[in-house]
Amino acid sequence: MTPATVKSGQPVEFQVSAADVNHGFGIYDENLVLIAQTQAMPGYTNKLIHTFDKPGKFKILCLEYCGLAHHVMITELTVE
Amino acid sequence: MSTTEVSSKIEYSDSENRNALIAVKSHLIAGLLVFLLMMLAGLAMRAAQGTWLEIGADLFYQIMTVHGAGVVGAAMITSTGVQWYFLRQYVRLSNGVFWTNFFIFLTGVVLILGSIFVGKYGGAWTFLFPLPAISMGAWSAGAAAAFQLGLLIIGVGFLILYLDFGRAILARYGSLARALGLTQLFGKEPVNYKHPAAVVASTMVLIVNFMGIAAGAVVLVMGLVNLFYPEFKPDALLMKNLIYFFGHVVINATIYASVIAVYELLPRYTGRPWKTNKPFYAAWFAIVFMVMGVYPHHLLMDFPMPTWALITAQVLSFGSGLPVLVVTGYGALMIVYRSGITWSTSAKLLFLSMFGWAAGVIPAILDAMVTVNRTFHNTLWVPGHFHFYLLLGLLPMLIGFAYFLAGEGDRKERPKAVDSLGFYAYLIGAFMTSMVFLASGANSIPRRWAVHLPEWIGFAQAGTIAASLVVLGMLLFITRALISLPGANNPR
Repeated sequence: MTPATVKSGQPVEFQVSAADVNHGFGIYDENLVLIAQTQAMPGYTNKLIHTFDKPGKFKILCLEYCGLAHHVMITELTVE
Repeated sequence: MSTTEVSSKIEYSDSENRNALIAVKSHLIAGLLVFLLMMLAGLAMRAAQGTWLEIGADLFYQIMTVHGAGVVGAAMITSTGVQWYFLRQYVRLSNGVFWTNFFIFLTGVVLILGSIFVGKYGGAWTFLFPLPAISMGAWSAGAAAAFQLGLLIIGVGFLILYLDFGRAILARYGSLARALGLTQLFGKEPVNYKHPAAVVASTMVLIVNFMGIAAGAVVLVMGLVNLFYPEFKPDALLMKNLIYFFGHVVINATIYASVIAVYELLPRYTGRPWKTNKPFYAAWFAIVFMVMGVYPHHLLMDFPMPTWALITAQVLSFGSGLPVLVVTGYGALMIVYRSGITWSTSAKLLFLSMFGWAAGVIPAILDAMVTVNRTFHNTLWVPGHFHFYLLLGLLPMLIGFAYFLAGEGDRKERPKAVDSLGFYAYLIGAFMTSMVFLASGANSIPRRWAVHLPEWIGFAQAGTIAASLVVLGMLLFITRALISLPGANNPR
């Protein structure tokens, strides 16, 4: 995911796609609350616009079953 | 055609009836046993998520795959047993075709089990394209093919059975519209309160399942072609639409097939007839379109979907299920009220199914709203909603029918202590299982994760305890069914 850092207080457009199979792109806040999501699909780019109202370390979790590594698809997003 | 002719029952020879009863019992026993095994699989998954059971991620996802496919298959074969038992009383159905579908189903089950436990296929029962073909070495193309071929074979068997349903209904009623009660609804024929509800419901199930299974066959064939000719790449969004149309229709149709048990058995237990009327026909007519039109609510997070499809799905979702639910729930209340009904286990289960179906609508409607779906989609809210429907709506209809056939319908047996223990263990366990799933989803816990983060483990442990109660209740039900069903006479 690039970039891994975005700014709070302004809309961020996530362009979400998938190179192999279907995935889900779920944004979780620091309390592990799901705040926004879209699907990630081969051949399509989903545009998800979200405005973070505070800085912090957010998590991106896969929300569509994608195979045996589904539950390890976690990455971090820093909001400044 | 006179009213009497339309309502009278079909006569079969004694040998045909004996054979038919064995066939129905085979469907029930096979289906309920699969349900029990799938509940054990569900319990194992919840225990693994709750860190009480150690299983590898690969096995977890294989269990998850068999759980999904197994429950849908068991729901289809058992509900078809219920539906066929009653429908054959009004239209002349073929025992041979019924058995043919059963054995085709078993063949498909063998293929699916082989693909999962021999071929290590773990691509989930929804086989979301192109996952079956891209496993990163976890399973072979052959395993994925066996799984999809198994589903395809099962679908073909059901299509053959529905052809027999269609032939028999047309032979008796002349048109599907007449069988659905539309000629009465639109005033072309006088209202016949004795027009069988089983025929109305079966006609609806026949129409939607034919469409749903045909869509499933198309997507399965495209998936199979892609496995061996990867240069053939169908559009992922088109495949997703076809898969969810197929899956949504097929699983929903099981409850519409099984509700026939409510229409047929509550009148026996209360001594009051179930009268069909214009609102009843209108509700079943509406649900034909609603069941087929709402599936895009599974695709609300797929932003390339046309806006009109998503809006239509959301609007239909608010009302989907309600028409039939209202006429059935209201009818059930009216037929039971001050009837002096004997609360056998069968009657209790059939009445419980009305609650499960009615209450199960609420989480379904919530999740179909775009604003809610944004944070509930693909969380454990989703299994929460369908476990509510299946455990408290569908299964009580199926088990209630099994109790009817096992003796309560004929000998008017009173519930034994073990039946009551089974009923309450199942009721509490099923309600808790569903509520823990819903609470987990409301707390953002994703579905289909083999390993849960530490913050989520408490929910999974509560779910494990709940699932244990479901298994206990089901074990008691199954034991009773296995002891009493094989030798039971056909209730008069």
